[in-house]
Amino acid sequence: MSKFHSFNKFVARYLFYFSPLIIITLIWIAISHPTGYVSLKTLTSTSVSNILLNILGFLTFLWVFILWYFFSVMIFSSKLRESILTKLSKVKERDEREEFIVGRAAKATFLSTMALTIFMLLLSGFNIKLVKGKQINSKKHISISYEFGLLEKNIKKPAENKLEEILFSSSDYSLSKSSLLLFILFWHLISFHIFSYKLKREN
Amino acid sequence: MGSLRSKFLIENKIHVYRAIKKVTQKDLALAIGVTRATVVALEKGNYNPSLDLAFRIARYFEVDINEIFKVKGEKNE
Repeated sequence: MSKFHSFNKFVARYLFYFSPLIIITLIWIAISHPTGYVSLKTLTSTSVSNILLNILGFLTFLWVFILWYFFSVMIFSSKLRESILTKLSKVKERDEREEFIVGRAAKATFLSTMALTIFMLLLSGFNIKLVKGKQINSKKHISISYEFGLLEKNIKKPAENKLEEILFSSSDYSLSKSSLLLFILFWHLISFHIFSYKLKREN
Repeated sequence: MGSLRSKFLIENKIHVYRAIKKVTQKDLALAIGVTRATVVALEKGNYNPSLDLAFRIARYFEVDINEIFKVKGEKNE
């Protein structure tokens, strides 16, 4: 188990120290290949810059692959989570008072994130539309619908009514999956630090 | 936001014994294994220590635990 943990620590160091190189590679590829694709001609070319690009591209591929491995291991390994995520999220537990504060802040954060998730779950299913009929003298009206599906492809979109013009639809402003997860992650992190800061000031 | 204070009003004489022994908050914190912020919170009466920490403080000052900590009553909440 300790060998597994030390291997993961080595992986964490590799990911951290290689990240500037990966960023540079990605910027270089974005500038030199605006289409986002590296052609086979470039890959087989023997010029110095292309050989370097090949090596960096391979390293980037390896880095991303290891990143997936690392974060999937982190889900199951409590020891790794404790050693990496406490450092990343700047959780300080140097004595019993700080442990107490972290505990209280964690509870407050858990509840606030839960409240936010419930609110977002409700919001995600509802679609509010402001609709106007295409005929002359037709009035505007609001329609509310509820859609829920376990998979994105299972959600049936309501059939478009050709006699109506949609002036506003709340689904047009829904966040993407990645930005939603990022938002929840930031909410979780920021609310934890706000709660612990408040508790530290009070006590 | 909940407070860390307990239901008891506990008074302590940490600052008195610290003055007698002529040690700084930082030195005391180092000796009993806590941060300086915790010593500040203890002296202000904002934080009641665990039994373990209370004994560590008493042992550091070489006095009985009752000499430093005293229950003054219960809080009305």
